[in-house]
Amino acid sequence: MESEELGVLIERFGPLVFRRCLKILGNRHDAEDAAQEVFVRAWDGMSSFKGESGVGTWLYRIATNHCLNLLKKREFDARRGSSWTYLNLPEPWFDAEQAALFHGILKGVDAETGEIGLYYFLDSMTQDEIAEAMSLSRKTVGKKLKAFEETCRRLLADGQD
Amino acid sequence: MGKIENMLNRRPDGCLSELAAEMFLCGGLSGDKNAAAETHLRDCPHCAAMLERMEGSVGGWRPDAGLIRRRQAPVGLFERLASWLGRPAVLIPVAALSAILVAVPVLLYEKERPGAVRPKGGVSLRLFEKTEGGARPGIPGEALKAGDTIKFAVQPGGHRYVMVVNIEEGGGLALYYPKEGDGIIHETDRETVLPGSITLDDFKGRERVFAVFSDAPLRFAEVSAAAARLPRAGGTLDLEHTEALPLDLPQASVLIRKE
Repeated sequence: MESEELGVLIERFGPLVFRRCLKILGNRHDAEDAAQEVFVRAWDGMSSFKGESGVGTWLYRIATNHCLNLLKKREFDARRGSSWTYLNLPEPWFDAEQAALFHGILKGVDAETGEIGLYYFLDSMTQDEIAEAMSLSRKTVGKKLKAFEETCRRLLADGQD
Repeated sequence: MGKIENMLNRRPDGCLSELAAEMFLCGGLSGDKNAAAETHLRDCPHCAAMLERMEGSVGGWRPDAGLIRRRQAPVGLFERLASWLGRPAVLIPVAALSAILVAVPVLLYEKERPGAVRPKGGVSLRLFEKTEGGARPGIPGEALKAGDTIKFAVQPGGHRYVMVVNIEEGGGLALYYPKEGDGIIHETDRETVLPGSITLDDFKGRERVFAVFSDAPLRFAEVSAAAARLPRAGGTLDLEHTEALPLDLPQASVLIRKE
């Protein structure tokens, strides 16, 4: 891919990637850095893009996974007592309580199940959409969703809601 | 109803998912799906409002294409080169050049062996203050406020790794870079903007940011121990005049004043 193609990629999908990061991270400063990093990774891994899904979907997934990893790291840093990085003010619409809950659920499931749960419950994707985006069978998606939901119900029963 | 219960109640079937809405906005939906989305949006105020909110949330932000090109990892470059080499039109000249391609890395390896002399220029650390849609260079010693966001650029002077730490007058130490990985710098001969940014907390006083360069990954414990050895007067560090940590490694630093 040549430089001008990078320009087209940025022009067309920059807003998508930024919004994705903003939705998961909840504040603009972190989202700007994360979105920039997503493009670095995508540009680096362009040769591994197999075209099973569209470029937009591929970027959407890279952004999702990158931000979920950042959330894990954010918690790690908070545990270490770092007060520097995460003082950014969240966007007014950002439901920090729900984000924390979702993060709690993510700790109880594997990464793929967490990604599927996020797509289904927070992004309102259908199981078919998820299966297509992740190149998985509809059956696998259904199975993983069940595991995700069971974890949610367990947390609910434990009174963590 | 609790938050988890809320979360398990999805938007009604038929509404646009987040991904479908994004694809609609960037023109990535196929003809049928696009027409269905347009029809749905005319009748669903919820989805129409969601789309409006999404469109308004980006502001003027765009990724920095120059930074993306500069940050390409060697593996990506190799993969791209391999893909290019695989083209038939390139195969013959490549075969003719193969001897050179083999010989040059060997010679370079000889130069890079431990103990070999490698010329290095000076190292530097620059501070940038993030502004709406960009960044402006900071002036050393310039007063900054809580909530200001800063980024750093380093000139590694030929060194392959960098660690950036911040020390407060009271001795508080924070690791700024690398937050993950080993702090490798891919282009050691030019200034590199470090990924990530810092939003300043409400601590008031002097702080100094140190960039420590090396040819092998640095351990935070080593830098932290060096910071603990800095001389104090009445429990306070003289950051105004302390420009380097007691480490036998190339360093650069910037003084920050917070008001």
